[in-house]
Amino acid sequence: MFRKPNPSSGVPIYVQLKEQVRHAIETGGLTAGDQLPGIRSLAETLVINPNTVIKVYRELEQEGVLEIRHGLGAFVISRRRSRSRAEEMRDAQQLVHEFVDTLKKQGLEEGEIRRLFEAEIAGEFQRR
Amino acid sequence: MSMLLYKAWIETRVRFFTGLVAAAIVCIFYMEQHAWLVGMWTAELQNPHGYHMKWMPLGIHEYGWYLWHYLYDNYLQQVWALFAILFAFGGLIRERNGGTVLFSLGLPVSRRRWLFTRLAVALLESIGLSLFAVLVIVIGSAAIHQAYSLSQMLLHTALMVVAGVFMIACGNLCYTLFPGNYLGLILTLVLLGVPYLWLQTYMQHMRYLGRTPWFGHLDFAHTMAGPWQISWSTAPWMAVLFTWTLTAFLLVATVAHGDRLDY
Amino acid sequence: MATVIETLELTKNYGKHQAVRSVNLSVQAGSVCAFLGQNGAGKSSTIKMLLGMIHPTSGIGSILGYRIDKERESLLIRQKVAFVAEDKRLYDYMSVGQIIHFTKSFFPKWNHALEARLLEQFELPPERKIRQLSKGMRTKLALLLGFARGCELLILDEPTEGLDPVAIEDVLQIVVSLAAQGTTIFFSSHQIAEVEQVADHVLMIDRGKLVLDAPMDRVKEQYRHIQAVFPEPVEERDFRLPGIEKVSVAGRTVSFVASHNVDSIVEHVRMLHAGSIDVLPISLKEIFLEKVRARS
Repeated sequence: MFRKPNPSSGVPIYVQLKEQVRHAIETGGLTAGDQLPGIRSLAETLVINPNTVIKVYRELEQEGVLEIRHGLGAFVISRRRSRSRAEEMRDAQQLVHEFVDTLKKQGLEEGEIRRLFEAEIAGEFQRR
Repeated sequence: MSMLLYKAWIETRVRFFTGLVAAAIVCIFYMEQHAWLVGMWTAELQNPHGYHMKWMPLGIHEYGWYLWHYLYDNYLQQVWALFAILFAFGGLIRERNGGTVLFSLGLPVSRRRWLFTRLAVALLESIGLSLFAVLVIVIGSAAIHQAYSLSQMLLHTALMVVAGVFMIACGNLCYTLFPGNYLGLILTLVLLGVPYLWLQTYMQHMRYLGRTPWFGHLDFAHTMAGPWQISWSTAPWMAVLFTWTLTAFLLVATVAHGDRLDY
Repeated sequence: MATVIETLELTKNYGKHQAVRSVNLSVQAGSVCAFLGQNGAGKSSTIKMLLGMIHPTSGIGSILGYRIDKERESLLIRQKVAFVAEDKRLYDYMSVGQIIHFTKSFFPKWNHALEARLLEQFELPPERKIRQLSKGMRTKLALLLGFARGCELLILDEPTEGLDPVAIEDVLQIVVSLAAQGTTIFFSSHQIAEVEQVADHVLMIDRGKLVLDAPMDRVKEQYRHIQAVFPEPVEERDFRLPGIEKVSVAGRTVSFVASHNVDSIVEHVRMLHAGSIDVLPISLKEIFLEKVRARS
């Protein structure tokens, strides 16, 4: 799940690794309550300094992304919304599909439906 | 500790076995020649115009003298001295040439321990070599049906080794001082061997003529050989003591030099 | 945090040649500290002084609290420190198994499990004589003999020299694994990429002098390459500011390597009416090249 960071890029390894953890959480690779690899294990897998892994976990804990349970390891925080962006997008797509279907059954054309949506969003912006 | 001894042994065992063979060859040769030489001397003595050397009667009648003269006063001693110096060849300086010195020095072993283990093995091998010669002589003498004094032979063996440690220490110091690998070995053999052999030969001749030049005291071979019959009163105590003192100085110098080296 | 290696004004002169000049080192326990420098810059001489193979001309040092220049204490150091030299030759008349048996006898805390694992991972046949091993296998054996000692400090001089990329990664992984168990690693290297990968502290030595001594993170976060283009040609002397390590002027374009103070430097450059200012990250390799070329 974690790729070896590029040590020669301008971005420090610990920053790259933090990004990878965040990305994993966003895409659903890691979900709430999941345990992250142990410090030694991750350091050995990626062949990076163990202190770097410690730093990553500690900073992510401070940022509220992980929680470190004493003696057990690092876990993804479960107080975050349990649904990922991808899941939200999928649900939204389903709603849109059903709604467009309903409007079509009422006799609206696709072009008319699109103009209604755009006006709604544009109007949304105007009202703000 | 035993691992260091084991390493020194592996590094020198081929030399050791070669030395055993060389010593055996020398001993067997002269035992084999005994009958012929005795016959020749007898003939010379009976011939009014032949060679009459002062020691010939002794050589004809005393097998013990014969063994002492050819082996402990000459050829076996030379073989022993050569191999004693060869057994001491090696050590950290040679390892520097072979690239392994930093591995050796990186171990928790002091430079002195490296040195003394190696010299201890060289000494043990030298003792082993001399005792093997005794064994060969015992067997060989039985084969040619000659009687000798075992205790005298052991005394001569002991004297040779006890005085000979000087050669080991001297050779070892030369190795640490001379550059190069085999070049250092050759230089040492030449620097030690030439005076040793020259003095031995020259002084034997001088003694036969009854003369004692001052530098006769430097005839180390004579110390190692001792008189042909050793007893409490005839053993060269002073010479041995002096040799040991010199040896101690040499070792101190070697250790001091070794401690100061930068690898 | 305990200091595992410490030196004060450590100096070594070979006649007139100053190989190591007043080096002040401080390596913390548990760190993976890299020692970078060109050939002949003084890396090996420094390491050899730490281990008692070379006598310092002046200065003092200690490892794990023991003095490096005192014979008896140096022996204690070597009981607790695993050293793998740059020259990885071993007693070629011994076999792989024999030299392991030999080395093991000096270290009561020998790690048998690691020895077995590495024998297999490095594919070292125990009966093979060392003189019959290829150079790469000899290097791996030398490293095995260092790693398996169970020591709290590893000093490695060019550990991955001559190894193929797979073997290098294997070695780095072992280094990282040992570091995770609390072993302190002090290694010299020419391979800047591997240094960036595993080291958390970096030392650079050039012509006997220490020119950099900093945590890796700080170097990555603070060193920057700044490039500015001016409307008119400028002089090098306009850019004598704290933090600027190196300036190169090419007509109207100026490049700096800055070690800190980046904001003030940018402010200064802006005040000199620079048209465009780029603050870019800089690799450890570039920092190294600049550091060793900057001095003349």
